[in-house]
Amino acid sequence: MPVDSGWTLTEDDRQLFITEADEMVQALEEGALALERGNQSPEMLQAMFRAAHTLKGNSGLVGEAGIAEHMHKMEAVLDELRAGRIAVTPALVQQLLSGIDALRDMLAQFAQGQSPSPPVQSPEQPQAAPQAPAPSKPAAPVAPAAPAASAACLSRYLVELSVDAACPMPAVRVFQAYQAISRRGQIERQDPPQESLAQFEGRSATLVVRLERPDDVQAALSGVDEIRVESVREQSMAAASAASQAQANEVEREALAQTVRVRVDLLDHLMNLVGELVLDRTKVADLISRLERAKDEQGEELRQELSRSSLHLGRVTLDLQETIMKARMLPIDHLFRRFPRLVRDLAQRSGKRARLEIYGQDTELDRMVMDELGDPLTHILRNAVDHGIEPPAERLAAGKPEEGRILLRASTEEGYVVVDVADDGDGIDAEAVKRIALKRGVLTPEQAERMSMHEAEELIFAPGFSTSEEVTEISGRGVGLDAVRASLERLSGVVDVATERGKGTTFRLRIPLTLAIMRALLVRTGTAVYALPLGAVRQIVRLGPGNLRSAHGRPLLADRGEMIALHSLAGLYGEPVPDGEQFAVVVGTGDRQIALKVGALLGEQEIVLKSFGDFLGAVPGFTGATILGNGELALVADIRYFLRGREAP
Amino acid sequence: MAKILVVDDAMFMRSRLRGLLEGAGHEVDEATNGSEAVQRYVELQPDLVLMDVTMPEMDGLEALKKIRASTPTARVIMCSALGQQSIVLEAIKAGAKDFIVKPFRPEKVLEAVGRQIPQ
Repeated sequence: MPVDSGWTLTEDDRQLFITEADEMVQALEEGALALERGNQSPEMLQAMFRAAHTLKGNSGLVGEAGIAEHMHKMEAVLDELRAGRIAVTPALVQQLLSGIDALRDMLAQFAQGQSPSPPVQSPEQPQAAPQAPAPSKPAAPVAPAAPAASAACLSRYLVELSVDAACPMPAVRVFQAYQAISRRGQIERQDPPQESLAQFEGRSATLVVRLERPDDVQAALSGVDEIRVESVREQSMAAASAASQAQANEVEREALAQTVRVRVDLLDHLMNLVGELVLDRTKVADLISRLERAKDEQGEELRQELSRSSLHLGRVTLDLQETIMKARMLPIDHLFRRFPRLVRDLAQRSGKRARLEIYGQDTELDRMVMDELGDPLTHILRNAVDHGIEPPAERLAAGKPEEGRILLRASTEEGYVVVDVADDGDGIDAEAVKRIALKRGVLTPEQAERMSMHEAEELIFAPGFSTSEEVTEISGRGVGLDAVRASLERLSGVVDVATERGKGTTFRLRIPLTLAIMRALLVRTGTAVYALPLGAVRQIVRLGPGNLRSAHGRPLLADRGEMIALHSLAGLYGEPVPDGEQFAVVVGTGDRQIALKVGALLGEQEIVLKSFGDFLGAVPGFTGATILGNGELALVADIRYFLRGREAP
Repeated sequence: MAKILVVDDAMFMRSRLRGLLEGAGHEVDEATNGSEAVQRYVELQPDLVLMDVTMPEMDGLEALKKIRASTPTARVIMCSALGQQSIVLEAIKAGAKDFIVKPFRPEKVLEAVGRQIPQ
């Protein structure tokens, strides 16, 4: 029930509460899953307790007494746990997880502006609050272990370190510094975090550490070369009360990550502005080229001026564009962190054992892209557990560890983010895939004969290939993988599969870092200009008797022994086919391609993709439109539409 | 003056390091690969080891772990090349005291040695 907390709450406050609550839920869930695996450490229990405690305090401030009550009970259980008064049992973990689910529901309701109804599995019932002692005072002080108690007496310092520019291995120096400092005090937070040090190439590190004296930092680092203490600042000691504890955490987090939270709609607006700027730049460039053709003596001065400002505009735009892109980027952890729970639940349901290992969670990705990536990844992970990983007995018989391993790894590669999902299961049986494809009519016997192993494996992406019974039969995968491929193509990305019988299967997703600005090939056909996304353009050829063929009255393009279906671009859009189309652009994704006849090639350009908006909705065959430098409108072609075999527009 | 074991499969590297360290008044012994280093360490009980990372027979990381397992107080400085950051990080986690990166400058070597052996 919302009660008047005495605080006025703006929309921003609500957003902040929700964002932070999500982080707490995440911390609790990670903790619960770690407990289940038997990884129990005092620090972790402490972190879980702190999360529950902070969320309790925050809920009180937004007037959500229901959530606060729920958290109070969870906190009581965690308090018992960290004091060692109750033990971790599977039932307890399950109950914690149910409690977390209930919390998530309550938060979702709050986010939608409803007052959360009491959870289905009320924390008052033993399900969610097992063996909880009668609600005692919040955060009953317990002093189980001496280090924790004595650490509390030490002052907390924010320490900034820098590594010499000449140091070839900054990660090692930073690690040595962590090691040396931890011998003298207790490190509470560190940036870069230890787990991601191996990829660290930065020159600065920040720590929050509890120490007796600030000089301890300098003393600790005397034995570490190439590292310098930039500053040691004492943090406020007001961290005693719950509210200020939360605040202090916030301050530290801000100091460590140097991040701010920005609303997505604001970012979108900024992105639109940048889009306008990019158009301006293109327009100026266009003006210059027209002026140059004018050959006017008086135009010389004007020309030079324009040229200078165009250069400047270009620099500014580029900078602005890159900055905004960065602001839209989030660590992919935001997406990944829900998957350990998913894999755990799926494995449990199917009577298997599976562990998800995550790497590269710091990899950054446009948040819009990230949102779109959630479903396909969930799909692939589900397949990995359901059909990739074998049942425990089968694994043991094959000489593998009972627990299956699924690897989720993100990395960047020249403007792309690469996400691998690799399992160590049984792999895909290419022959079985072929049999099923034949049975379902996806494939003719002749095609099956000629097909390579890899091509056969690729069949799992074919629309209409799989149903769940067949997937079980081949102990492979396939449920809705055509949908996965379609989602990836919507993101201008690709998905590939590599598999080895008995060893496992790896799905590799390649997604562009951002969607809003892309490079395109501009072509003119008839009176209209079309933009073809450059990522899909395979080659451009001039048409002539040497490469024009036909079969059954259908025109074909002969290309190095291959025959590619040739269509007029205008014709595909239902426009009259103009005369004199002398070029063909071959476009494709995966193993499908088509040749498009066009009238003229206008060159490559960076375009800002605009959707048609609500009044037009989705227009088949187009992903949107863009405005060119000369003010002309170009329609951005949806390559998938051509490849799919065209339904009548 | 300290007893230092220099481990490297390249004779050139060993002789350069020997000259430098002897010039600074240290006593130097050599090993040409990891397994030899483990053996020499037991016989000699040196104050410090300069350990190359990439070597035949047994690499430096493996040798470091073996030495630290038999003598937990052993002081080892890793001699690595550029691009071996993750191996060096692992070595430090496994108990190496410090590292130097080839091509190293003589004063860098002496500084690193000096930090481990207080004069």
